[in-house]
Amino acid sequence: MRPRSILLLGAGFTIWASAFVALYAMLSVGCRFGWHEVALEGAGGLSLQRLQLVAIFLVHLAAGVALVALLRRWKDRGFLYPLAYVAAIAALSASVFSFGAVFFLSTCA
Amino acid sequence: MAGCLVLSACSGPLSVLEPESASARNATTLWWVMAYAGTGIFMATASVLVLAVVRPSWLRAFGEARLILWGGLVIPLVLLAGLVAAAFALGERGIAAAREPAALRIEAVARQWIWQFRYPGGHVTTNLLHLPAGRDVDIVLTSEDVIHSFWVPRLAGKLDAIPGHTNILRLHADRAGKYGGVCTEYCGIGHAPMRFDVEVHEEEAFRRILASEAATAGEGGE
Amino acid sequence: MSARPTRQTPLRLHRELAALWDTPAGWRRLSAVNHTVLGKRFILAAFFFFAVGGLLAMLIRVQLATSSTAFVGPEAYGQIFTMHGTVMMFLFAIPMFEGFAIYLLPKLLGARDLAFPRLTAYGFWCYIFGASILLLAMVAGVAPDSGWFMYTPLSSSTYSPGINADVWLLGITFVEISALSAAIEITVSVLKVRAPGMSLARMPIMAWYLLVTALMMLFGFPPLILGSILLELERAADLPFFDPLRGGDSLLWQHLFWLFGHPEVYIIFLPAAGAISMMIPTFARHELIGYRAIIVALIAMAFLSFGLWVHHMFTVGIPHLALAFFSAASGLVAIPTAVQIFAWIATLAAGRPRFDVPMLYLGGFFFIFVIGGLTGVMLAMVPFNWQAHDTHFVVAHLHYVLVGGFVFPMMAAAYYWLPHFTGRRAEHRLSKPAFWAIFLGFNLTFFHMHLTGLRGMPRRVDTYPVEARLDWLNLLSSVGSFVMIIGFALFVIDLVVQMRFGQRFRRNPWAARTLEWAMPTPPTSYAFASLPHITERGDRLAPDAEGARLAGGHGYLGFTRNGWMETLGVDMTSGRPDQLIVLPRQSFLPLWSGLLTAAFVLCLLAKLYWLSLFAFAAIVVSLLAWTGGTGARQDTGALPIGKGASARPHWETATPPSWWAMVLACAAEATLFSSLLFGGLFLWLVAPAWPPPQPAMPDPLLAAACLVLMLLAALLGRDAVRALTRGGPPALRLALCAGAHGGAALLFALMAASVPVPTTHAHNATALVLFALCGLRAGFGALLAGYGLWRERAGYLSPVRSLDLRIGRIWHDYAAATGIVGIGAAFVFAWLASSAGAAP
Ligand code: HEM
Ligand SMILES: [Cu+2]
Ligand SMILES: [Cu+2]
Repeated sequence: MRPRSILLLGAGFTIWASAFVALYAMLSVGCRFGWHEVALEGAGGLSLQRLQLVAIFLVHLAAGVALVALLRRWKDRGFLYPLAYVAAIAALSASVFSFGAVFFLSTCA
Repeated sequence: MAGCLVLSACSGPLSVLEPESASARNATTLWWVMAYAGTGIFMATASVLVLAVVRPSWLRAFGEARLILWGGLVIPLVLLAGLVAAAFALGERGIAAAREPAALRIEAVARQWIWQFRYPGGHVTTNLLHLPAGRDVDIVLTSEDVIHSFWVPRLAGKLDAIPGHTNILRLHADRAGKYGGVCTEYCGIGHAPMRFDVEVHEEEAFRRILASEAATAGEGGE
Repeated sequence: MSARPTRQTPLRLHRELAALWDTPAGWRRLSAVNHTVLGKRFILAAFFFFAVGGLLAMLIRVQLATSSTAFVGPEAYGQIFTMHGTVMMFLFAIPMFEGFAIYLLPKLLGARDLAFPRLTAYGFWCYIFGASILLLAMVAGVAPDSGWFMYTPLSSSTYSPGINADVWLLGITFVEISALSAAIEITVSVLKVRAPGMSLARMPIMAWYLLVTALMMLFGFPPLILGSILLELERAADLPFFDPLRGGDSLLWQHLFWLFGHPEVYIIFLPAAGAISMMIPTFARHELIGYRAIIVALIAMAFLSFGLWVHHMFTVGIPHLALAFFSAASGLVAIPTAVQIFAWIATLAAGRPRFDVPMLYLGGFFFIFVIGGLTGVMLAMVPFNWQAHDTHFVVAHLHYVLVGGFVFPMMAAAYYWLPHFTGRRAEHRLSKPAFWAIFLGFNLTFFHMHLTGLRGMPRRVDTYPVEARLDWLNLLSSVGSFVMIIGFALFVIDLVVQMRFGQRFRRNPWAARTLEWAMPTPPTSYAFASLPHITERGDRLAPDAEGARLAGGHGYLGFTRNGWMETLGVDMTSGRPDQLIVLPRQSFLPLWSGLLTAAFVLCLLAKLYWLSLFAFAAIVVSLLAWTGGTGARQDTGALPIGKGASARPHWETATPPSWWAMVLACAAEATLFSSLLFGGLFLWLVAPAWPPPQPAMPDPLLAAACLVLMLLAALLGRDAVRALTRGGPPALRLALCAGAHGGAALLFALMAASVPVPTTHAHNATALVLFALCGLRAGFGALLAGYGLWRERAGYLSPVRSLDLRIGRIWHDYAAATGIVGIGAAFVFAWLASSAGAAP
């Protein structure tokens, strides 16, 4: 089934927005509850905070990739699909650019 | 820096362009890098615009779609990635430097429209902050009424004093001297005059002053 | 119903259409609902407020000319800069773009008017009355004085006991009603009210820009409206949302404000960028290059601009990683901007550019805006931001962006479209000196203000220390601003001269290729004597030939019937005509509703809360009165629309504009509601003085009963539609639906009343507002069900005329869904507030 809606244009960036909200919210929650001081033995001493943030990031990344793969099938059809496809790629790149820092930066300082 | 044509144009007791600490210097360096890069980017973009009018054939030969791709996407993205990475690294460096709490903590309490500084041992000064040179100091910022913001441009970036919150700003002045400080968050009719002086002393002198200040603490500084 | 309409001569057609569409003369002008008339009024009023804001700017510059100018005291200075910012953002920039959009949009889309002409008028009155309140307060010396972003606690009653802050909160919220109605109006019009054949792929680029802008407004304004309501509740009823001693937090206000405030900047810039995208192709004599790239850029910008509000809060003390998210997004938003700029350059390169005055002003735009964009990226870098934030560096940056990105393009647009308004060509005697005075004056004012800021001059100060040696820089700025003002004066004189003495022309003076020139200029009230069929992208048309054909009635709807004001609605994506939209006639009702809304606001300002309830009821009644005379009492069926095609009137179709408007209204309300939920969580997480002494745990029985009633209301609402379309009578179901809603509202009121002392803690206050909001929604649901019942009794409903009930159904569903979320949230909040949910 091919969805035919103008909303497709915003699909990619909706995933980006969801990642943004989830990351920012869970970052604050984690800092409040001191998850950055909980080192996980099983995960090579990674903090619980870093782990959950990276997980959120990766889940959204996977969703973004899936969307791109899905839209790719119709990327030569009509007007909406190619646009939605390019927008999804842009959103995926934007996700990497704006949230890539979850791997490196201090979470609660 | 060569960016200041007339040298005095950059100086002043509140000037960001005359930093006196490592963290302020980092910000200033970042500024000059961005200023030069920005000038370059501006010139380049303007040249492309001029080319579009006087030598459109050159741009057409390059291809319009490619022009948008390179000018609008690839080049800015590369520049931006570099800049963001540098800014992140600078930020992390500041955090790493301040990981352990400093030995000296000074409480800065903001109130409409004065700054009160409380030193260990109970000394209090008003609108005048004494600091030792060459040492880390944590300024513990709180407010008793509205939001104020603590800024000593030559020593560090600003940080807000927010009622109900405590913010800690790490200062490390390179050498003795007098610097200016201001409130930068609008806090009512006394906002503009809500300034303070910062005197950085050698360790010895700093101790002496605190000792003598203790006697006058009740009078509240100036 | 009339017989098949016959084709007439152009002149007779004009007379017939004009008789229907023209706004009456004399005092009956106030009944205008026409987009051309209202667009002009919006633009004129916004221009007036630009002058007011400019005057205030001059006062600022006089005060700052030297470090010892004792021109005004700090109290007056606080009012002056606050009003300058407020007037420029809320009373100039937004309404100016609204006016521009209202005037132009139907003409670009090939429609005779916007989807909701009376809403346009109501929005206009809300703007005028709200702005008047602010202006009067200023004249009376009690203007808001806490800065245009009104940070608490400075703006709370302890530190701003006067009426000043109330004027801002209530007046600006009033004006925002107008912005929200424009947002709904523009979105629906772009999506539905276009010429046949204008598929999405063929929309003129400006329509894309306005669509994106309007959607951003729809989601951007509710957080501020909620914030304003909460702050006003704190000031008026002592509910401590922002009081750190009672579990509130001033940072909540900052989040809500900037969640609106940053998108606002793009809301201002995008329509101007749209205008640029219209003008450049005309002067390049080449169609826009990168049409699709620009659309993607717009989408990216719309989303990204909601992800960088915290860059206004980098100094409040936030973890580095969080700063990094916002910093990266802030930098990233430069990319879609760059894409647009290079698309414009590419268009120029592809064409054979021709120079005229609008291009000169666009050159000014380019120079100034690019600098503003670059300093914006600098400010997004956290270490530098900590130094430059809240200094005159930021003042310089924001004016480079706003003046470069809005004022210069709008001046170009004024020269470009004024011939369309007046039917006269420009003389261009003063336009060039005016440009140079404004351009040079602007840079002389603001360029070295970057340096002033870096040398330590905070913003919002009425004096600065002599030792900082900022005097000569400031003096230069003040001189520059007077050069700029002279330029603006020349600009105004030039426009007036052009309006009075410009040469008349027949059609399309710039040889543009867009639809707005395919009509007589100045435009007739009905815009198109008949509607075109679009077979090309919107900037590849031939308006001259098309205009003549349309005036001759050779398009769709080249006739009148039943005294109806008609235009066409299309399928959103394909542009196939799918309905005949019958627009409402001229009416005084919007004025009345506006006056009543003003009365309501004034009651609140005067703290006459009991009286305000009556005013509120009167507003509701007046809005209900709008529906009188819409729809029909018998089935119409498909009607001929010309060119051998036919369509049903909109009330007999599945998704007419009003249906979409309800969907969008729900989306806006959902944003407001989410902001409230965000506020509740945020306070729990961040605010000092938690947990509350007495958590507000709802009574489970009441909550369960309420839940059942909400679900029942939604089911009955759905069943009513089902009954109606099957030919059965929906009356009983509607009555029960109204009853269920009413019951739910009552239970919500009970739950609100049982919140323990809401003034003691922000948690309790939040619970109160949560229940109140859910209750209001249920109350509105009861009203809608009752309205459906009344329409049924009055004979407006039939199996094909089910629109009124289907609009109601959207709301019933929405109220139930959000009511359930609300009840759930109340329990979650109570749990978090009890010791079990408390953080260590
Ligand atoms: C006509 C030329 C203008 C001049 C000379 C001017 C001058 C100024 C100055 C000097 C300030 C800083 C006041 C202070 O911090 O003490 C200021 C603030 C501001 N201006 Fe303008 N301005 C002009 C036009 C505009 C326009 C067109 C807009 C918006 C569309 C605008 C929006 C603002 C805003 C939002 C502020 C911040 C107000 C606040 O801090 O609360 N200005 N203006
Ligand atoms: Cu202040
Ligand atoms: Cu912003």
